Amino acid sequence: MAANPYEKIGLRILFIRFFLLLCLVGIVIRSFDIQILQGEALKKKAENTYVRGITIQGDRGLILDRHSNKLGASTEAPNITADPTQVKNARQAADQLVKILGGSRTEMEKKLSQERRFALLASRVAPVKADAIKKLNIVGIYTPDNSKRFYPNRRLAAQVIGFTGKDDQGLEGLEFSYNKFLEGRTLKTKEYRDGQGTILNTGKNKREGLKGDTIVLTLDKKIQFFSEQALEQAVKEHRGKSGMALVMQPATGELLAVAHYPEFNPNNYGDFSRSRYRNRAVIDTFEPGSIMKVITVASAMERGMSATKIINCENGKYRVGGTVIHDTHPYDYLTPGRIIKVSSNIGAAKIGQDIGPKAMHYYLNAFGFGKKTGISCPAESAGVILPLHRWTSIDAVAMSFGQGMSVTALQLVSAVSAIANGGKLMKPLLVKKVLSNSGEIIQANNPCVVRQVISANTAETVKRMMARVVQEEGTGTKAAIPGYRVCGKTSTAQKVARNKKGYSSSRFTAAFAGFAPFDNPALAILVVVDEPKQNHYGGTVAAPAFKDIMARSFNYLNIPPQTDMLAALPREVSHAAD
Amino acid sequence: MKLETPTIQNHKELRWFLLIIVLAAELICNAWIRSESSQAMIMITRTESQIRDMADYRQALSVELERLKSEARITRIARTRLGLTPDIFNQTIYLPKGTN
Repeated sequence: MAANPYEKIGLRILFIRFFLLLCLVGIVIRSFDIQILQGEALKKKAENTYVRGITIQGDRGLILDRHSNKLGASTEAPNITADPTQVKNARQAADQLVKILGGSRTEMEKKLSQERRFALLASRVAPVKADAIKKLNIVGIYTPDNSKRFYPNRRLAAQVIGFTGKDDQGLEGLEFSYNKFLEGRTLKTKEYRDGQGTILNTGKNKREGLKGDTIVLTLDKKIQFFSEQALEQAVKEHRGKSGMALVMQPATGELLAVAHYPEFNPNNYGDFSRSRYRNRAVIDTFEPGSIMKVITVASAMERGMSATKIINCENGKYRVGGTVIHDTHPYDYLTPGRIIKVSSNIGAAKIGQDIGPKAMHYYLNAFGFGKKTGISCPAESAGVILPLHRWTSIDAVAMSFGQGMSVTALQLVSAVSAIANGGKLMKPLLVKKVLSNSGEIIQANNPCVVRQVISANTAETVKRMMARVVQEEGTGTKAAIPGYRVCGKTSTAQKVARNKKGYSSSRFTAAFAGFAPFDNPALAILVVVDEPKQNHYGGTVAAPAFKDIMARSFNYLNIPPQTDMLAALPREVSHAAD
Repeated sequence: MKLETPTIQNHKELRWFLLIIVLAAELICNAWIRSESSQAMIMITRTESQIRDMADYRQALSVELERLKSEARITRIARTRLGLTPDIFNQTIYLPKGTN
């Protein structure tokens, strides 16, 4: 019996429904397979075509002087990289890239044909070149951000600031010792691209937050420049081997300048010999010579010696054990003030003998000699002061006029500053503060009194004695500044002989240390010239540089001359109209 | 078999038609929003890139400014091009009125 037409249609509908249901079930199963079972693998496969893992490197922090002038900064210098697996036509791409970057086309093509996902084509190129490469729009070529260290003032304070290597890590100076603060942080993130290869969200805007910390120094760019200029002139004029000049604020211990000559340019440090990189003011030690007489007299006065005591200076020759001590000019009887003024070795030796080795050793330590100052520069030297039990009979005598011991320039300027600062020894400061990239203070280095070495009264008396050094008949008259009362002390130290025992008769260290103005010392300066050739006296070689730095700094800092001293000057004085 | 009346049939077709219209509208809206958001993302990325470039340029300019105002450079120009020499010990000093 044949089925009626309605039953036939019903069957067909049933069959079609079943077929559609089957299709639906098939789609659901396939969807489940794609979405759930193979989901992760397929997601990764897809991501590989539009997502790329990148590492963002924050810029290195700034190095600023005390007035926020940039001494070290980073400038944009992108890298050029490639994902060779994405580059479709390596030869064509190499042709285009070589036109901008230069170099060999075959080398470039080789780099672009590798079976790797990363190739560094050029590092730290000029931003203009990176922009030109971006405009080529070659798939697989990238211009990740990078930066290059730049020192806008070139040679200024180069030994103090130091420099960074190709990997942006500090290699010398403060760049090295403050590397953990200065270096930029890194962040691993993803770069998204759309179908046309346009970069979408990169996360690169987070780069500002990755910037390293900023260090603010106590250095003053202008005073540093005055010091470098005066030092260069002194070393060149007297054909010295090298020189150092340090400027310190006695009341705070802040270093306003640390100058070296010869210097180097940290922007291309490879062009200079490695010996120039050294911050000799804190690393190198030398025999301080006559500047130590000030310390000897201060120590003796602190132990009760009278400023009017008369000392027999033996007419220029004095035997201690097997050693004969000489004075440049013979003197008979001198007061401690005159001993400092004319720089008598015999006078200082007798004072040293009076106070004895134990007290001498105590005061040398108290003034900070033989110990590191704790300044934030790498490889600081402590200098050499032998332990008391190893001192011979001549040691205390020799040290009283600066022989048989070695100090750093930093220790010496700190000790002289202590006299200017009423007997208070301050910790030398070079880094004022460290700021985060958002400007918050991470570390603040405030002035710190190490100890009261001598009383304020003793310091005042020694100051008066030092003021006489730059007056008529003193050894440091070339350091006198018209209108200002300057305190100072010259030093002409023989260097140890190279091939024989004792001291050389041709190699000297000429130095001058002092401070001014007398009433309220604003600056303490030490100038050291190593092995001057034409004239080796500290008063001739170093004192003029001291005067130059001090006078120009006073002019810059608006420290007025004393009106009573100005009035005594033989010059025409005009008065303002109103 | 009971056949539906034409009015009921029309209502059903209308409902389906409306449903399709709503779905199509949703589809169009979705596509429009997606393309607009992509466009906005591209614009944001470009703007961010421009901001970064500007910041880098500003940094480069500030470093260049530091280089230009370097004392060594200015002194060299003053000496070599303008023939000037520093002489701080022979300055004109103006004292306040009434100073002896």
